[in-house]
Amino acid sequence: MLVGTMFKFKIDVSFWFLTSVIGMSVCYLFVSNKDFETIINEPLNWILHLEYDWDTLILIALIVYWVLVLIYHVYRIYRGNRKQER
Amino acid sequence: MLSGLFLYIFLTTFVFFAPYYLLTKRYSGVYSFGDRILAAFVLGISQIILTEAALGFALQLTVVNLSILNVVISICILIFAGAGRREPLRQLKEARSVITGLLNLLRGNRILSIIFFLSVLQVLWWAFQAYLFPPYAWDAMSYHLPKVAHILQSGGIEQFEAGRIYVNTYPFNIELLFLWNVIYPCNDILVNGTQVLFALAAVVGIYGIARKVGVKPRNALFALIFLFVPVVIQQATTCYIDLSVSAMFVIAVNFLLLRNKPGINLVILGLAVGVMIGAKYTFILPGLIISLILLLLLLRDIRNNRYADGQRLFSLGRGFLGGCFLYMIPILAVGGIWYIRSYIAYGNPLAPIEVTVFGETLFHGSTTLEALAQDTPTFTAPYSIISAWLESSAPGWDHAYYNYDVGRGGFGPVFPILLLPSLVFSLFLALRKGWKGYLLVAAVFILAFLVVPMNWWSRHTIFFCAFGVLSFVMVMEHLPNTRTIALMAIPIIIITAFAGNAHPYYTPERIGDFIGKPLAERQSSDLCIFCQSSDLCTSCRGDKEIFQILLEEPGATILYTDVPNGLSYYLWDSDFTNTVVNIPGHYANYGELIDRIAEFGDSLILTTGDSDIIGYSDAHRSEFQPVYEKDEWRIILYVGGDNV
Repeated sequence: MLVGTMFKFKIDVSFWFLTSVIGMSVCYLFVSNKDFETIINEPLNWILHLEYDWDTLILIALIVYWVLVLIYHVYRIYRGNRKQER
Repeated sequence: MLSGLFLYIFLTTFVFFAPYYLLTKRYSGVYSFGDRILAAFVLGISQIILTEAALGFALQLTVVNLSILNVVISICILIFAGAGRREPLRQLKEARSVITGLLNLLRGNRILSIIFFLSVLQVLWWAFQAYLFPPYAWDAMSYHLPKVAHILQSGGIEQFEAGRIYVNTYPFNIELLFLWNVIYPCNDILVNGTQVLFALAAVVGIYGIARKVGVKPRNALFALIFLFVPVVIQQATTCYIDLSVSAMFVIAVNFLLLRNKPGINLVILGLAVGVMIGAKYTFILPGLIISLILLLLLLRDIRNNRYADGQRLFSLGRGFLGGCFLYMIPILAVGGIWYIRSYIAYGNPLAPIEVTVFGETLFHGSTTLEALAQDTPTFTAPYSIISAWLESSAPGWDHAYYNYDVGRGGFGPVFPILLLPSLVFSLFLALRKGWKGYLLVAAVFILAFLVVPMNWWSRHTIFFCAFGVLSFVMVMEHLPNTRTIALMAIPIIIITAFAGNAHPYYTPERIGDFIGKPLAERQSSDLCIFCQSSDLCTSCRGDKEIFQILLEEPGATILYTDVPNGLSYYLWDSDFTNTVVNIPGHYANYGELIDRIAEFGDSLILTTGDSDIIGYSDAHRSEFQPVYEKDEWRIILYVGGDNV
């Protein structure tokens, strides 16, 4: 595992699963129509007097959140490995 | 109406409780609680379909006959099961322990409890929608519900004068369940909720499959994600059949996996496959896949005993033949009847579709599968499938993309982002670690997906999304640190649920309108299904005017040569008080027209400006009075005098 070797700890299969989810969501962000027209869009624009595409913004926020979750996941593995070493 | 509703509730409970009681009393060792619920569901709906079909073919399909027949059958089942004084108490205790176990699981898992809470909200929202809105969906108005209305009108199943061949030829199974929800209350208020039960049954099916391939209950409960798939959300409250058929497929796979295969399991499996293929043509091939896999499993059992003595082999062979018999008879009874009926009536079991195998035409028909696909890929086309899954484009579709009920998206963002990676990872791990049970399930789902025509169109392959959910359940079971995975899954599930519930027809204004309207006055024509696009809305208002005039007086007889957009269900009021008959538009002479319509007495005729009726009615104003005229549409009142 390249990432694991680089940082000298073992990456688990969940890491690759989470990475693939993020990869697919980035792919979805660029490829899909993503104009959900969800029930989020209209009320938010109406309340805030805006004309934003909230669905796209939410998807981007989601990807950022997932990257943070992934970093947290790697940190937990790293911490676990360190404990074992000690 | 109230007495009809009570009878409906009593009979429905009785029809489903009797097989459940039988299974608990006699086969509790074979089936788990969830399997018994599913088996009772399959047996109950099969009983409804078979009794309605039998009475329908005998032209004796009335509320009284249907009630008596079902009560008699259910009592016979209870007698066969045998009474036990302690049995009801035992069953109640078991149900209580299952509920307690579920609550304990939810209490120990916060993410699961969020999904469960959202599921309850979703089901309540469906119930509200089903109650509030009359039927509206396109194919439902075109042929699924006209079929139900014609059966009610004629008291049986015959060749209806319906104008559209699909009303007569398309398999009837799910429509007979719609009929069950209509015939007792004498209106269409409950009919929109039929598919909600199938969505829930599919969840229990996914849960059952997951348990059988070794998943723990706390992970198997993630099967609830299936309820948030947009195509499921939007189809659940329509009178379509796609969700029901896919749910039956999932249920069939669940029963295919039972290791111990007593006769009753083969009967239930046969019934599930029978209901499935007797509901939709395109599921014949997936039905064949299930049958083939079952055959291989049965043959494997014989092969495992190849060193047995002659007598044992003879008994195994006899058991094999008996098993095939127990499996095939229900399929023919519940599924085959509609194909046999079409063969007798049209000389083609799949009428009106032409059946061609390797260039040889087996059965002639007026259309082909390619024509029905409307210049889109008929069988597996990878680019179209991936585009549809990623929701970038879909063959032959130029509308705004997200139109999840029949529109060509459907699986929503949750499928490509979460379920597709789950599917790939689960398959990879299964191959590497040799999870035989999961690989068998994967083979059935993937092969079935490949043989379904127009499989890029999500509504034809809802079951594949169920496979995606099952794969996610496997990921939750076998990957380390699944709490992180669940944390990632929750937001995308919620967003997909929001997207799925954003319905182009159910705007807040319409919800307000319908809440303010008395139940009896809610008509399908009030819910203009074109109004998602403003340029179509003008014609919609015109159509609405036509239907309002026709439905002004309850109990009217409506004769029609054509109907706007071919959606003939609009011609019935929600209490089914009027009589609707399709008549030809062209006649050799005036006498022929009168011969055709005199038997109906006073009636309203809906026709178009180019039909012969217009000319004859202008010449005979004493019998034909013009009522409405706009664009090509005409409504004429025929005063039939004493001919009624």
